[in-house]
Amino acid sequence: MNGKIIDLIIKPEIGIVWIPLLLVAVFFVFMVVFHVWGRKFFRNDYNENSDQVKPYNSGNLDEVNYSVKSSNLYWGFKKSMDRYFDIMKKFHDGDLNNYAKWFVIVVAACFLLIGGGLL
Amino acid sequence: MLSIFLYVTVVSLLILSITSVIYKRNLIKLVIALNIAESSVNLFFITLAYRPDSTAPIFTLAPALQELRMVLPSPQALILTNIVIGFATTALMLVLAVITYKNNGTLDIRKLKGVEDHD
Amino acid sequence: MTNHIPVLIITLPLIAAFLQPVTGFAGFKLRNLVIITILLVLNGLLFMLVPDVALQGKTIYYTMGASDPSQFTQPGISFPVRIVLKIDSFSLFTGIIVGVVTLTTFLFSTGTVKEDKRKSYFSTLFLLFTAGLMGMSFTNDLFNFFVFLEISSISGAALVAYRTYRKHAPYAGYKYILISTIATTFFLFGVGICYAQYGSFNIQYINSVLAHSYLDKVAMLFIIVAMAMKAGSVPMHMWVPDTYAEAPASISAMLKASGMVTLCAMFRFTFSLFGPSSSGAGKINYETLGWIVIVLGVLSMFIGVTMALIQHDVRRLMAFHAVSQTGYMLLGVGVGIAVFAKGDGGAAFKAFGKMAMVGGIFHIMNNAFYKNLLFLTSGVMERRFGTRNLNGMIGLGHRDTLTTVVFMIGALAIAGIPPFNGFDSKLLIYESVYKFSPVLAIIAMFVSVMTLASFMKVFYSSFMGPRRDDLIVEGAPLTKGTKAGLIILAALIILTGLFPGIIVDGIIEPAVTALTQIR
Repeated sequence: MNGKIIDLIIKPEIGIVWIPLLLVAVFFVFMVVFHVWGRKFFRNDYNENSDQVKPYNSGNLDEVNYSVKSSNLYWGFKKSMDRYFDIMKKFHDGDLNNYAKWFVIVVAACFLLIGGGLL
Repeated sequence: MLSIFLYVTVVSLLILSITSVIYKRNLIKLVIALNIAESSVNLFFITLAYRPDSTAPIFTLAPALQELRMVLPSPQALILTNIVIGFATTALMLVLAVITYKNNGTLDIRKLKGVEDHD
Repeated sequence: MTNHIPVLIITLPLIAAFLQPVTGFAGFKLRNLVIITILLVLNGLLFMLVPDVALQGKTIYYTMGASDPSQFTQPGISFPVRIVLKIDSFSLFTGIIVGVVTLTTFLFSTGTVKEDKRKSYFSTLFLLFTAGLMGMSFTNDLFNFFVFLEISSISGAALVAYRTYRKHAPYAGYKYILISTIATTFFLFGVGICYAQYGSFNIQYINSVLAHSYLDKVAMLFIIVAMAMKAGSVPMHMWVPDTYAEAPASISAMLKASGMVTLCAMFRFTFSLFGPSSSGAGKINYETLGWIVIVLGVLSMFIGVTMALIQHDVRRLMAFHAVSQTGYMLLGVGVGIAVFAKGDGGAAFKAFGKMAMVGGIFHIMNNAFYKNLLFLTSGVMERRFGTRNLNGMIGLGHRDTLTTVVFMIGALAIAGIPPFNGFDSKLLIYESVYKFSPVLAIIAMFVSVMTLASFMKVFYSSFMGPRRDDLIVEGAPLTKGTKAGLIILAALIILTGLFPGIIVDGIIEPAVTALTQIR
């Protein structure tokens, strides 16, 4: 293998090509286009001095602390995996004894593998 | 026969220290446990270097010996290094334990757990 | 002069560290200038070695105190008797990571770490840490490796506990030094077992006479598990979030670099120390060893990323990602190890094993860059809001445009989005691991998605939202050094991402070849 391992991930026959300069050029062209005509592409009724810039807080009258707290994000995901996270939190409770315990457990498991002739 | 006893001592000291790291809850006692572990490794190296009926590896002694029998010098030099390193580690750990006590008012690792950063 | 480069790379930071109390009298600016110059010289020396070592495949030895230091063995003696430094492509690769990370981190910390006048604890410890990591990369002597490991752990623990006025920082430092001491004690025990049988500490010499007895396997077990603990792989990773969260931001980045170096050392011990030797007497079962590494890797990836998703302390979240990304490297290299000595004459290794290892090793480099960048931006967030809690952060994007842009670059790179460097190494890992076992590749992709999700959370809650100047505790603009550190890292991420071929062919592929060649 004479140093061309990156060629393995570029497969012209199935249409994967990697031309980095083209990517950069396209990025800059889009930047220029959006910078010049950006407002026309999107909302041309945008007005900085109106209430449009304020966050829409859907009936929540507290105008300062309107945003969803980060600990409430992905609530459903967390709730559905509650049992898993309870176990995991117990592992990561900052108990120093646990740290050493897991080291000993891994060493012991590998000892078993050596004793069994697997390693 | 003597060396067998020494190796048994090494292993039992190591087991003793790792057991106390797992089950002791006082920060100072953990420092002591690690000191025992270091001593066991030091003893292990010195045991490796030992030859029966031999002198200390001192340069000026060499011509006086009829048949040249000295203990191996290099493990002893290395263990000198390790003792110094162990001293530095112990000093740093004790300093950190003292500051921990000042900040939190306890040395018990169960009371120091306190990871409130989980959701 | 040129044949003294290997030892200069280690001694320069060491000398600079002990000069700090003197240069501290000259004031901060001059002191920082001296350190930055030294780190630049260090990087220059490292890149001077690239044409010889990486491109032409030479191996440079340096025997300490010998009349002709470039010889491996001295005249008249058939085995190496002194401390030998060895620079091959793999250790050069490790050294380059340490050099780049150290330079950018120090540039960042000039503007963020405050010291009382004429005190130079931080810079002294920082340079000692650098010297330790450099020594770990280049040494070919097991006891010397142990000494450098201890230098880096002691200075690292002192740096973690640097802000002693904080409530939990000293305890975090205590945890780090405790874990390091356990790991190094067991490491030294394994080294002792090797010394008892072969009477030498030299890695290459031990490898050439290794008998692969049961005692050797016990030594390998102690050494490799101790290294895995220092690198922070599941299930020995619980110290990682506790320690990284309490350290100053620049030190979190350095600890990450330390983990990467330890991981590289672990791979080096697997292949160069306990690998198949030229004497050919027996060998370890590489398939089982590979599967152990793969299992550790998959567990690290999955547990790390799921725990990261529910954190709301920004530094803990990133620390869990550090664990999760370590899993990718272990997975890539583990697949390489598993097929390394298969019975098919190396066909599987040539087909995808080598590619997996290239992916894993390349990921170490990429991860060192983007993880460093993310830790540094988290330092900016922490400074601005005076808290690490994401619930207390909002709307930083209105104030710090540079921080926002570089955070986006780092977050997209860690999630493996195409123009950035994380994509290249992750694609190499996916493609090759898929040929080994499709399930593992699917898990890796799933973890990548979760990574993006949790960084979306950080971006959403700290940079987006309305501008809230009342929450800002410290509004002083970033200094030039801080900006320079962030910009260099972001530029490296983009360049590596756009031109992966140059890096892979120039540095990574020779490194893997040097690692896996049978002596």
